[in-house]
Amino acid sequence: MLIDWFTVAAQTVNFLILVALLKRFLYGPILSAMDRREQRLVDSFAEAESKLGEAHQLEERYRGLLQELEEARGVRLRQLEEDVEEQRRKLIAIAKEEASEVRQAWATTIRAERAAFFTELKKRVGGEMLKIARKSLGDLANAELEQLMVARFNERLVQLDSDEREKVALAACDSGVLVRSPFALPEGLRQHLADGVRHALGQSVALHYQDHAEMPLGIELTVGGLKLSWGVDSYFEQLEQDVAALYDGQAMISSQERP
Amino acid sequence: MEITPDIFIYWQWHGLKINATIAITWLNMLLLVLGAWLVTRRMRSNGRLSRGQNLLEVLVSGMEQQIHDMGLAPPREFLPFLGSLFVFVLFSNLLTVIPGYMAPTGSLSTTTALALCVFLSVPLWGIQRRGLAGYLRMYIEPSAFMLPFNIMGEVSRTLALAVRLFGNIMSGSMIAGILLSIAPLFFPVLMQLLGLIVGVIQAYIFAVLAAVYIAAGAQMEQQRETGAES
Repeated sequence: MLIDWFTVAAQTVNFLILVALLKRFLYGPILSAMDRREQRLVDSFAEAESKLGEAHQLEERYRGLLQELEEARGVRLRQLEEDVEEQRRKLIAIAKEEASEVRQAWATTIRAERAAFFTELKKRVGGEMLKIARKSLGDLANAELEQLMVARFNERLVQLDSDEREKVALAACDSGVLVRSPFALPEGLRQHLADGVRHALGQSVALHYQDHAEMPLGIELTVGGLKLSWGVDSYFEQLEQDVAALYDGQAMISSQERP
Repeated sequence: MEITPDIFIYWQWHGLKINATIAITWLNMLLLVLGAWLVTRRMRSNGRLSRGQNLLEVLVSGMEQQIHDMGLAPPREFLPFLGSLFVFVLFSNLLTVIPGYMAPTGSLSTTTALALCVFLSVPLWGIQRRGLAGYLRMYIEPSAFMLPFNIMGEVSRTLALAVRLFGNIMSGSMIAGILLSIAPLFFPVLMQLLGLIVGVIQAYIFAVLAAVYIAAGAQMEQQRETGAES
C-alpha cells in the first residue's frame, strides 16, 4: 500500500503547522518590512514633493526680490547720473565765472600797464623829440626851437574866433595869464609871447611863467577856467591810439589762446 | 528498491509511528523556520538589506505577484497557504541533491496530505466568499444533472494533484536508481540535474494548480465583485 493514512494525517498536521510557523516567521515580518519601506518611500516622495514646492515658492519670492532690487538700483543710478550732471554744470559755471574774473583782472592789469607805458612814452618821446627838434632846428634853420614854438603859438592865438578871444581877454583882466612850458622861456621869447598875446587880445595882460619838465613839448596858456595849448601832445594822441590798437589786438589773441 | 520513504520506520507505538517521511518533514520544517527566523530577526526596513532578507523579499513578493496574477484577491490572504505549499515542495525537492536524502514529496502519503489540504481549502474559501448555499449551488450548475460529474471532477483533480507530484519526484529517484545500475558514470549526475529542474517545476505546478482550484471555487464571487466595480 503506497498510502499510509497515519502518515497522511501526520503530514497534514505538519503542513498546517508549517503554514502557521511560516506565517509567523516569514511572511509576516517580510511583508511588514516591505510595507514599511514602501510607506517610507511614499512619505519620502511626498516630503520631496513638498520640499520642491517650498523651493519653488522660495525661488519665486527671491526672483521677485531680485527684480525689485534691480529696479531700485536702476532708479538710484538714474538719480545719481542726474545729480552728477547737475554738479558738473555747477562746476563748469563756477569755472567759467572764475575764468572771466581772471580775464577781467588781466585786462585791467594790461590797461594799467598800457597807461603807465604811454605816460612814460610821452615823456621820453617828448624829451627825445625836443632834443632832436632843437638840434635839427638849430642845425638846419639856425633858429631856436623855442622861438619857432612861440611863433607858432602866436599864430594860433591870432587864428582864434572873436568870441573865444573875448572870453580869454575877459578872464585875463581879472587874474592874468599863466604860461606853462617844459622849459624856462628866455626873456626875449617872453617878450615875443607877451607881444603876441597883446596883439591877439587887443590889450596888455600880466603873464606868469611856470616851467614843468614833465610837461609834453609845447606851450599852454591858462586863463581862469580856460586853457589854450599847442605842442607835440596832439601828435602823440595818434601814436597813443595806434599803440592802444596794437595792445588790444595782443590782448584779444591771448584771450583766444587761453579759453 | 524502495519507492516511498514511508517504509523506514524509526519508532512505533501502537498505531503511532515515526517514519522517514515524517522525520524528514520535521527536518525540513525546522530548517525552513530556522532560516526564516535567522533572517527576519534582524529585519531592516531602511538602509542596506542583508542578502538573506533580499532573497526572502524577492521570493515572497514574487509569490504574492503570482497569486495576484491568478486572480486571487487580496493576495495576502492566500499567500501563507499557497506560499507554504510552494516553499515546502520546492525545498523538499531541491534537497534531493544531498546523497541519502529522501524527499518527503516522494511519498504518496505526503502528496496526498497536501492534495487533501488543497481539496479542503477550496470549499472553505468558496464558502467563505460565496456562502454555503452559493458554494453548493456551484455543483448543480449549469444543471442538477451535472452534480455527480462535478463531484467526480473535484475528487479526481485532487487525486491527480497528489499522484502527479508523487509520480514525478518518485520517478526521479527511480530513474536515478535504475540508471545507476546500468550506467554508473555521468548519467546519474545528469539525471540528478534533470531531477532538480523537475522538482522546481513540480513545486510551481503544484502551487499554481492549487491556486487555480481555489480561484475556481471563489470565481463566481469575484466575477460579481468585478462586475459591481465596473
